[in-house]
Amino acid sequence: MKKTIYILLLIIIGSCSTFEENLDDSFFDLNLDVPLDEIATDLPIVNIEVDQNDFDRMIENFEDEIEIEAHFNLYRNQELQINQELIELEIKGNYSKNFPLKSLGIKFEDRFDNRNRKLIAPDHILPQHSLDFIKAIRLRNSGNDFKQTMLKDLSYSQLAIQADLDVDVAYGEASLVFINEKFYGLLNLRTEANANGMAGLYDVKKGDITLAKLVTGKLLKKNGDFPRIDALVSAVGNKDIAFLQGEIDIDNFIDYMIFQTFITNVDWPHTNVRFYAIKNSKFRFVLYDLDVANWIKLEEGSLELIDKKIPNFVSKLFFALYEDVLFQKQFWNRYQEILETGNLDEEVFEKIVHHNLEKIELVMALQIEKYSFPESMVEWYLETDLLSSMFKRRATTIESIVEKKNVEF
Amino acid sequence: MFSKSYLKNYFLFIFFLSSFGKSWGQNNFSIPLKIGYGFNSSISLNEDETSNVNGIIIQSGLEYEFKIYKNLFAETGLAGRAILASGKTENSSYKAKTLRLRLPVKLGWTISEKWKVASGIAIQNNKDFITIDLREKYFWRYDLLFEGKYNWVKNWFGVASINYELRNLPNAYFINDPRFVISLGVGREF
Repeated sequence: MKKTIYILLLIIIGSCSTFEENLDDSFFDLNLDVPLDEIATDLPIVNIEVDQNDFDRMIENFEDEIEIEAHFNLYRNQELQINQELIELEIKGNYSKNFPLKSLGIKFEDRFDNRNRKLIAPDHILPQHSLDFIKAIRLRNSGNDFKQTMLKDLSYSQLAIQADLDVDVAYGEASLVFINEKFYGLLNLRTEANANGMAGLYDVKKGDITLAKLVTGKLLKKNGDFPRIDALVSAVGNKDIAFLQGEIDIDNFIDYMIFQTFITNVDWPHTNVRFYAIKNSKFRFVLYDLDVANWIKLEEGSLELIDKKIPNFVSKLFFALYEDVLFQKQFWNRYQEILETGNLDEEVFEKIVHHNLEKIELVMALQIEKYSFPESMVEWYLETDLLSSMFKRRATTIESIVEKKNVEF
Repeated sequence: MFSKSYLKNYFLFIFFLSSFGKSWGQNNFSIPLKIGYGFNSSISLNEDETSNVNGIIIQSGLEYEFKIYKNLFAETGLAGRAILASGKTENSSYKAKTLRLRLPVKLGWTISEKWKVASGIAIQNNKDFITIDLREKYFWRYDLLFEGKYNWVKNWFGVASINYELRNLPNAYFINDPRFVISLGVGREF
């Protein structure tokens, strides 16, 4: 009997699933062993030319925030679109730095002129935004989603854009990345959500941006008018609602909170938060890094999701404003209004996911071969299917929560 | 699929049945070994239909049975389940090996010296323990169990069971661990 107990304990430790698969020949149509301008793909191809020793040193010492000089090239539809742009290259990310395929930060020497959409060309851009000049981009490994779908952040951002919400987002598209013409991996080419990114989106100077971010509950002042950020933090502490309403773009804040809670982003609001103001305008919040959405707590109400155990600025700000009955009413009415548009319906999201899936399907087979994350295409299909299934279940839950709340008003 | 009130009524029915019949073996440990066939109705992944998704299931563990009242007994335990599944997606075929831990909780009725029937729920991890957060919504699956045992030689019994996944999990979870399982096996009581 003891043996049986030991065996059961081993099962707990070793509980696992492994997949062996035979892929159809169609998966091997994409050949990367040809010159870069002959690779038959719709995805943009990035080739970074860099001293290989410097690059290897940067990868090995990924915690050291090493910046190296490199040159950036980009192909679209088998044509060289960007040739030898001088860049500063560094490794980006927090926890995701530990993955074998690391996110890369790219800073152009001068603002890149993207008016011809050579660098980044998303399908939709919100009317208030400009992608004409870009100072910096990120080649992103999809953060916590690296081992699962590589689609989450991109798909949820696209959903927010298509829903026509009053939000600021990071724009992105999947890309094939090479280092010195050697395949590095599938990464999402994405605009930044920092001061450079916001300056680009609104076509203003970086110096005009006041920006702060939250990392695990800690507020970090990153750019611009720091006393203004301090005053905002004090007003939240004092629950000075009149001051807050004068400093916060309430319409944006409400749409931002609605979207984050609609997608059950549990890696927020204690972290992955950036808010900014242009000159003396009101503070707005940016949607980015949506990799840990609709994974756990799918039945949780919006208010419970915001009320984090880790004390943080966003939760405090929200609940300070929420003491005002008019704000409560505005929040829940807007939630209902957005749901009624149908822009966040499961069919809309499923279409986005399917579109993104088809774009990267062949490359995923090569990515899996190189990095073994996830371990097989079947597991990737499983995870991508869950992405839509979880969304569907969350949408059903939130609809009933919002309906009940609106009945109260 | 099955509502809470349905399950409540179902267990009340089992309890009612338990007040009849003779008893066989009480308060004992047993080790059953079962081999089964698992299958799904049709399932789709990312809008594409899968086909021939099925598998062989091998299960063994330690179970403990104890008398509750007259012929009514309860049984619980811990078992390991290996699932050797295979299937085809739109553009690939696969073979999956999955190892899972199960905790059955059953209520049973001793019909005669030879026969027992039981039914209950088995809780099983749906994802690997090491890699996934336990808070994940579908980390666990709950199977509805029906089981019959026949005691043919002293301390040895044959067992047949049917189980069905109850939680209405997303389809993706069934590609390596099917929703329906029918199994047969033998076991020994201690």
